[in-house]
Order: sequence, then structure tokens, then C-alpha cells
Amino acid sequence: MSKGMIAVLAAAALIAVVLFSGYNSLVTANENINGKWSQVDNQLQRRSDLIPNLVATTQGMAKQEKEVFQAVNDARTKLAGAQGVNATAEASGELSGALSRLLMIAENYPTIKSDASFRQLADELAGTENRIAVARRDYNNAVQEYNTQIKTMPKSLYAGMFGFGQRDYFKADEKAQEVPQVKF
Amino acid sequence: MKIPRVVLLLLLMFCLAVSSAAAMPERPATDIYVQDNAGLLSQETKDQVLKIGRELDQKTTAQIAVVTVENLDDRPIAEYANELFRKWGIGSKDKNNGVLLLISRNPRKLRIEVGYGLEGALPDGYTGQVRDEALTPNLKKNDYDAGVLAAYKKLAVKTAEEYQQTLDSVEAAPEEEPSADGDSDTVIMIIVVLIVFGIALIRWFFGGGSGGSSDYFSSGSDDGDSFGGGDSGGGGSDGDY
Repeated sequence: MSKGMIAVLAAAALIAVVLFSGYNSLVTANENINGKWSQVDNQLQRRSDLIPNLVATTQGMAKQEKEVFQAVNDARTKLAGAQGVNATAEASGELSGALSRLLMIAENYPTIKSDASFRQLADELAGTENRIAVARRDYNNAVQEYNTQIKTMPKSLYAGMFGFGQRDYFKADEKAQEVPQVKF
Repeated sequence: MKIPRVVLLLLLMFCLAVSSAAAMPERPATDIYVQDNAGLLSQETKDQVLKIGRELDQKTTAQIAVVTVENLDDRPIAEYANELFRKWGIGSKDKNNGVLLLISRNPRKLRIEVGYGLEGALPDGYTGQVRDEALTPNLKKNDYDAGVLAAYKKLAVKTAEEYQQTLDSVEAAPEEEPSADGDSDTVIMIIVVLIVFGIALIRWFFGGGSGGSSDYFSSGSDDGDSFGGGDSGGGGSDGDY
């Protein structure tokens, strides 16, 4: 084998190694995003599961506020049907808004405010909203890490070739990011 | 090229200014169960918390940490608490069974942050209750000792229950209060005090050599405490006081 051949083979081996480890790193980063997303999904589901109870508890004591309850149920249904990060983020923001309005009702109805099960549900809701915020942050950090990888050299050269495209951030509506709080 | 002294001095001042602005406390290496950075608690309260915290950790690996801070760096308490929790790694790594009770002096806010592994034992409804019953009423009156002790005991006992354990240090606490009625009560009280004192003396003689009055009631060496690397997902409750 001539020296030239050896040099070429060595170069090819080096490129293969770099490619391999780069590819693996992308796979890991991508899977990390998926893991973090399932946690977001988890918490969104948890909030949705709290809602029927919350609505049932408040509805009895505030029958006239039909609009608010309808808005909550509609937003919840919309979230259940949302596909993909962007649609889910938007629907989640709307649900947060609708829930704030529901919790605000408690401010006007002392019977609701003093109800023990309502207080418990309100606490659970506040806790879940916070969990969603944390899961969202973790998810967005994972996306940032991955997107940065595929955009920087040398991975930017081959990421597209292997099907690693940019992934979406969970962008919630600014005003909907307020965690619903009731002052007891 | 000689760097003028003024430049070096300014650089030093800048570094100091930056480092003091980042006020989130560093992970402690000792007395991990109570870090009273804002000086809100009495030594007695801290000793009690350490005692209960150590027992809980030894029996269950669950770790409950009380942290007081002067301020929250202008950040929302939930965000601050979660970052602190993760930074310190409260609770064991494999079980994520940590709890953080964070109290800020100004703004007057508190938060109970629960690790992933204890979300079943300490759901938000429960932590909200602890906040409403034990913390807010006492903290509103600036009685930090009563608030922290009451909350810590509740959280510790509930956590211990999850692991089917009981905590002697929580049951024992009422016994140390002197009772004032009847001669026979006084005699019993004196005997109990003598026994407790005797045990404490023996432990002091045979215990670790770190000195300090907090060793009287410690059941293990101070240097054995460390956080296990647990994680939190943002569960728990917070509020104003």
C-alpha cells in the first residue's frame, strides 16, 4: 500500500469516527427532547384531569357564571385535540386563561372561597400550573441544546442529511403565563 | 505592557459586586436540614429541626431542608425554589424524596417545594394546608420559630408515614416541656429531665469532637450530612405572609 493510500484511509477513518459520535450526540439530544416533552404532556394531562372536579365544585355555587364554565370546558377539549408543540402551547395558554377566570369567580362568591374542597382543588391547580412551567422550561432547554447542535459546525453539515431538523419551542402566550392564584 | 493599578482595582471591585449580587446560597456541607441565611430562627428551633431532619434521613433517606433567605433576587419564588432545590440536590438521587421549605424575609413569601418522589405523600392540597395552618398564621406575626417548627414536624411525620416509619424526635418534643401542676408531676418531670440530661451527657462524651452546643442532641456526626442529588418537578405550594 502506498503512503497516499494510507493517508486517505486514515482520513476516512477519522471522518467516520467524527460522524459516528456526532450522529449519536444528535440522537441523544433528540431523545432528551422527547423525554422532556412527555413530562410536559404528563403535567398538561394532570391539569386537565383536575378540571371536571373543579368545575363541579364551583358550578353548584355559581350557576349564573355559565360562560366561564363553558370557556373552561371548550379550552380543555381544544387542548385534548391539539397536535404538535405549537398547537398544544397555544391551547394550553388558552386553558390557563379560562381557568384564571374560573378562579376569579371565587373572589365574588364567599361560599366558594370558604369551601374546603375548592381550596384543595385550587391548591392542586396552582401546583400543577407550576409543574407545567417547570416541565416547559426543561423542555425548552432540551430543544435549545439540540437546535444549537444542528446549527453549529460540523454537525450542521450532515444533520439535515440524517433527518435531524429543527424542533419547536413551547412558546406560551405571555399573558396566559400567569399562574392562576386565589387570595384566601 | 504594565496594567495600571486603577484598572486592576476596578476589575476587582467589579468581580466582588457581581459575586455578591448572585445571592443564591451555596449547597451546605453541614447542618444541611436548616440553613438560616436570614437569621430568622432561634438556635433552639434549628437544633430541633436538625434532630428531626437527621432522624428522617437516617430512617428513610428523605431529606427536608428549611432555608431562609434575605430576598429572592427579584425572582418569582417558585422559580427560585426550584433552582435552589435542583442546585442542592435535596433528597436521594434514585428516589427524589426531598422537600424544600423556603422562606424569604423581603418579599414576605414562602414556598414548600416537593420532590418528584414525594408528590404522592405530600400532594399540593396537603402542602397548601400546611401552609395555611402552620406557616402563614405564625409567619404573619413574625413568629418564624413556631411556624417553621410546626410545618417541619407535619411534613416530617407525613413523609415518615409514607415509609411506614415513626419519628421519635417528634414524639419526644412535648415531653421536654416542663409541666407545672402537682407534686407527683414535678417528681416525674425531674426524673425525665435527669434521664434526658444523662443520655445527652453520655452522647457528648462518646460522640464526635466537633464541639458546640448543638451536639448535645445530635444522634450522628455533623459531617455525615449531605444531600443525595434528588430532583423536583415543581410540585408544592407557595404563598405570601
